Amino acid sequence: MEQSKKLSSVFMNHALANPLVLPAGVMDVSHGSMLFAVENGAGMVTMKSCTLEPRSGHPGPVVCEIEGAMINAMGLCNPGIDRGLEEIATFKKFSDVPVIASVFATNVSDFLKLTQSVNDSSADFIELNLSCPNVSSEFGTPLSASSEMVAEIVRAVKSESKLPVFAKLSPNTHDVIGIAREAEAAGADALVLINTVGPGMVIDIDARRPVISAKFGGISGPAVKPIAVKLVYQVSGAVQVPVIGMGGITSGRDVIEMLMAGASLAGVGTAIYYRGIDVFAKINAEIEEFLEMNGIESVTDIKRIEC
Amino acid sequence: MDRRFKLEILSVTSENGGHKTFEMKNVFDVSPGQFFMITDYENGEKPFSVSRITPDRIFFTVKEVGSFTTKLFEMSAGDSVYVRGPYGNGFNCELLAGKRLLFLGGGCGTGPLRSLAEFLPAETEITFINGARSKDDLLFKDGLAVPLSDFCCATDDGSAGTVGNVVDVCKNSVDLNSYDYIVTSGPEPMLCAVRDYISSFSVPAFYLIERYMKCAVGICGQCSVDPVGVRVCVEGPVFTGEMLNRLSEFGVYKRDASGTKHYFKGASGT
Repeated sequence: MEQSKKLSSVFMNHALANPLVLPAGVMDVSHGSMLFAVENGAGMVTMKSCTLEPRSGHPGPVVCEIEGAMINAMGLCNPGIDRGLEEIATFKKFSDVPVIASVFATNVSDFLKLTQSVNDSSADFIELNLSCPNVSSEFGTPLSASSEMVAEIVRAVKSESKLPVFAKLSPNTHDVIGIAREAEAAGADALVLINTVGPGMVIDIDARRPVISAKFGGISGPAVKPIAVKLVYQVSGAVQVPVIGMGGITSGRDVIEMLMAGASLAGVGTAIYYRGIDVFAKINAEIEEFLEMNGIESVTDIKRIEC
Repeated sequence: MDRRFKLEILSVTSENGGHKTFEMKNVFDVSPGQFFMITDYENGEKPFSVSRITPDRIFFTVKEVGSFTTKLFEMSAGDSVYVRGPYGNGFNCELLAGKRLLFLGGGCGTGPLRSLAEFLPAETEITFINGARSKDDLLFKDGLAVPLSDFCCATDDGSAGTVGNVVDVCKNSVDLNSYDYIVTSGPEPMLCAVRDYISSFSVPAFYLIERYMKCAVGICGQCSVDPVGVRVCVEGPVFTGEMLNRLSEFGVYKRDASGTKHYFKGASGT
């Protein structure tokens, strides 16, 4: 896709055509889905969080739209790390866009096994999903609720990983900033936030049943953006490593806002529902428009606001 | 905004081939080829194409294949289900209206073709070839509610209509060049056979295809078809022959709920 130099950047030695990242969990269970996002303007993609073994996820309904937001509980469906990495390898035959391999486990030893698999793959980064909110009935509270667990896992993975290590953090804890600091101190090369908010619940009053089969689901979409902007602002002020900011970004102006909160790159996920798969191209055009109107040379010139 | 409707089942009709047709109130703006997600909040949520659309009613013709359809088959008039939709890119009725059309249907795939045949204006000329394994599997074996230019059945065992599949009928007795468009819906091996046979003709074709579906609103990526990644729930379920030829996954494999590939019988696993 032809894109303006104004949007390009270098992120951890990888050239990116634009600052938009397809986050884990959206359009990413297969090489085709990730290629479709790239074809439509994504600058970097994340493969669906993979576990050691395949998971079918929760039965439907798995999503529900509410005013200004989506609630979802897919249940970490994925084909397992080996097949997931095959998808990344196939993706790389078609595209040189960088890929983040996201992994999920519940203990250090499984995270290490996943890391070893990713080491031998064509992925460019490894992301530790420490914050899936939708499997707590199975696995308990997400790991990123505990700064000790986050530190232990990041430290262990960092010592084993050949790739830069990202930690994906939850907004649903009292001490996001403290946990972000712990993750950085343990060696995380970048932080990814926020995962979905809540979780929340929607009841179908006609059926007198929860709409989501898992009862509760993580909330994403425009309504959560102020929470994401606030946490990215606070975390980026507290750590030195780059922050990939996400949560409710739907327009070019939202991306600029996220960069002004201190993010280096911006995730675009649920916006696909609101604006179509070509939301990436639309947002890129909107960013350019903002840059031009404000006489800014490059998107990389937009820095965290001082306040 | 997307919402779920509680819809009462107004009637249940048993069809040939173990299918059942469920009638509900039409509170939607829906066109043939589109689908709905239906749940009972206990046995999952599944996609269903409409098999008949009238101004005040929609119909779904269903085969029992899993826990949700088993539950649905136990339901009768007066029971309710929860429905969201319609979703997807249905048939281009404006383009097809008034044209000479060849419909090739197989199994449950015949349902959306029926809704299209009945939906198109009367001056449209439709030849409908309806295929199944045997007489007992044939859906709508007695034709549709609207007059067709031609309606014939084909069964693999010859127990009804012509012996063979819909492609055999085309080869033996249909002049493809006399049609403006081919519209086909059915099991993927049948669709593949259709694609392979018609590739040497220049008649444009539309295919209705199926993939495992979860969100139905284009964000989970579960129903993306490799390598282009088009989503059956948004860009599909109706695809042009041109797009289908870019989908190397088609006819070779499909993915299950985990995203694991399952190869079609006879397709190469490499």
